[in-house]
Amino acid sequence: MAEANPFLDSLRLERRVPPCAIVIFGANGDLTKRKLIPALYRLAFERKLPPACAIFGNSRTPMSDDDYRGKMKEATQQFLEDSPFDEALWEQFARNLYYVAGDLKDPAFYQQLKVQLAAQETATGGNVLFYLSTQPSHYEPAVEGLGAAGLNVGGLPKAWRRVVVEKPFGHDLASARELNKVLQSAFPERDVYRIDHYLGKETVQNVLAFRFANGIFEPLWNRRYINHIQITAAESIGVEGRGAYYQESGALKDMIQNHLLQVMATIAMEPSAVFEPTSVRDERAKLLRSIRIHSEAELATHTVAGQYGSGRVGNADLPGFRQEPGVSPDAQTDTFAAATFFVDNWRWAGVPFYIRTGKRMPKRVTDIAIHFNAAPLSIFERDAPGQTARPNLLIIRIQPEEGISLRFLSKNPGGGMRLRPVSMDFSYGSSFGVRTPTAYETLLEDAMAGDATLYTRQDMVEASWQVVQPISDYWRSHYHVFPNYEAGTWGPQASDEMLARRGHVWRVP
Amino acid sequence: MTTVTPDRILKEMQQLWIDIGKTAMEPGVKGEHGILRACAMTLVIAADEEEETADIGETIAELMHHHPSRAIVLRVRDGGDEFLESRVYAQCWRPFGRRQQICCEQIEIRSSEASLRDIPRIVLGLMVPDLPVVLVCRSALWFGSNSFAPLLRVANRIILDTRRAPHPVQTMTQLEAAHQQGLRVSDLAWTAITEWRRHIAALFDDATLLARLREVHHIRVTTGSMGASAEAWYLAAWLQRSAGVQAGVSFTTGTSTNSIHAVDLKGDAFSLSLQRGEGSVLAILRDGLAASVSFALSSDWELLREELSITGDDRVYHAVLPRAIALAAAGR
Repeated sequence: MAEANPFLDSLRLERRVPPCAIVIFGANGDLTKRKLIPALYRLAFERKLPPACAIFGNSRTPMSDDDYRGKMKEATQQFLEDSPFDEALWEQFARNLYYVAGDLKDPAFYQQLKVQLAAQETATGGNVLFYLSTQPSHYEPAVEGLGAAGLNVGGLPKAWRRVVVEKPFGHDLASARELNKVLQSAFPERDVYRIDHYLGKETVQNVLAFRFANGIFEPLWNRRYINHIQITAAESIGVEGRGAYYQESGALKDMIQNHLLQVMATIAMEPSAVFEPTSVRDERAKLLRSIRIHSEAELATHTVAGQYGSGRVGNADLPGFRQEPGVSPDAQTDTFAAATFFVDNWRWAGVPFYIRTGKRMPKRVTDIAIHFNAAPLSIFERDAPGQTARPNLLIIRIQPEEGISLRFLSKNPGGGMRLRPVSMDFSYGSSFGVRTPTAYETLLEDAMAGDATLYTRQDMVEASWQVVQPISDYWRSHYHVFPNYEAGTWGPQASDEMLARRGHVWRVP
Repeated sequence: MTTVTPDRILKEMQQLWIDIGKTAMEPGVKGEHGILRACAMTLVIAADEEEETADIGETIAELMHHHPSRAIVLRVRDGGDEFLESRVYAQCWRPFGRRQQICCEQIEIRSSEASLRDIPRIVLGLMVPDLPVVLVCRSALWFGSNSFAPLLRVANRIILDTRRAPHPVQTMTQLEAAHQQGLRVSDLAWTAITEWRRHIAALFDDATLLARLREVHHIRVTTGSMGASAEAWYLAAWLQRSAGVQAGVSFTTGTSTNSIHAVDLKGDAFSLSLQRGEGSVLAILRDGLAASVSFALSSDWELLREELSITGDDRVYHAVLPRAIALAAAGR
């Protein structure tokens, strides 16, 4: 085993990211402009980016380094979140920003890239993080190209090569397995970083702290005290010009298969023995494997597909999904998906996990609502019948305002024992006062540092597909009478009915 | 003289919040979107009367962004007459891109030396329940004062700055004694060398260099023109302890205005030198090869921010402290 550096002090000295180069495939795309470059710039601002970290952008469009820098500057100014833009810092950052035009299917491109990376090797130590921010159809040629050119292996001793893959990780179980095979043909699993940006969000990470660092919640975190859990990820926007892509994907695959099942796993997993990547990911994977796969009969009652029709929100008329550009007028795509899941283990047996996600809902919000069992006896019913029917509720808000609230009943001031629900609020913004890093900042820094705790693993991806695939197949084999919810509403009636069967109601976030 | 009691101060503070709330909700006012009252600790800052009010205010204002707190500033002036007065106010700011203001409360208590004994009871009544209490002694005199002892006992953290102490070795010895008594103490002089430690630790990430660490037999710290200080003793002691070798230590006085100008690690066939250059540049010379890196300079509030972020016990510091005292006492 390598000797440990005796000068390290984890209490004060921040984790250092080793020198490296970053190669972004799909460098002209939306994700790069909106998220990746602003996140890297912000890391530079925080002095977390290693000095002389060279960033190479690639796409097919011919462009000079300076043109690319200009484009990225504009994008960073536009999309930098909660942070001012510093011109001098940008100049410094942009000096290490390069552009390499080339076709991912062309072997000559990889040779050109190899030369460019070699030129930076003294500064980067030969470490390279490849980021696949392209369309999924380009993953295979990119990985194969890197492998064939020998770019998947560092030339210098101890140099590492890692690959970050964006979702979707396949469009079904078979294609997910195929993708894993392709990735592992060039990179060992430990060097494959499958990004799920939900896991990089502060509040999702805080769920682990909340559950496993506080002694008072974990004893309640089970079927004895929790009645059911609702996870909502609502978007107010429609498909925003991505109609053609979305038509092939849908809400179930776009959100539930990855983000929301990962959130559910974080909420429901067992504590890991230590907080280190393998241990935490093992527990997440175990939970995902414990989710009961719906039987044919359950698929009809435990899942709901929806698609928005036109509607009016405020004074704006909004088109239905089928009227969006690029969308077929008889598209069967789910823009809303809801499902009831059960976890088959001792902790959660019988506790429903309701998950819903949709586009064109009343507002943009993602939260987790943990509904506790009601008090066993209502001793205040005589004064005001029905007033104690509200059980305790713990809300974990993921976006837009990250925080945690606990709802409980309190006596109204004045005479009589009248109760009303009150809320105890913890808000990240006000409690810490400082800006929280974006998910991409956290995840990019982790990937450079070799920390895969917040990344998904091959077995987790396959376990999620095991759960989602039967739903997807079932929906595809049935004709849906779409649209079944109006833009600006909380989804189809069937979704409310799904909960009503167990006497539950969707909480309005 | 007005009566100064915790009850009266708390009442004034309550009124202050009502007034701020009303102002903030007036249409057209800058803070129209309301305010959030934030507090994560009681921060007691004990300062001398000579210290600039503006400097302390600025430090607190900057700290609030990271560590929102109820700040209690204590200021003592010389004099045998009894004198005690207080005032309350709030520090507000608007985080970038947010509409709502975040506000923290601040209490200033001024007293004469003769009234110093009255202060602990007032402060005890003003502490925010259930949250940590951090005591920052800007002047070492406070730390040694008997009148102040009740506050030391309730503080979860006591932060001193031996860089400002007239007799730093004596203060460091007091810190060690306090630590032995179970008080959680720290020193901003130790915090001030984090940047040096960061660079040295980064260099030894290189396995080749790390493997040669055992060759080091001498550590030299070159101080500024003021001579050896707490920072220099801490750095030398940390190097000696971390290196785990029986290396000799020497201090040389240089001409720079920085408290530490250079660090040299020497072996028979090994040489590593880190030297502060102009502004924020650190020159590194390793076996004859030179490189320059940026050396971040920290202001007082940044040091305090770092110290307040540490919630656990700083074991490295407490392991280094006795060694640093020994180096200082040996006059090396």
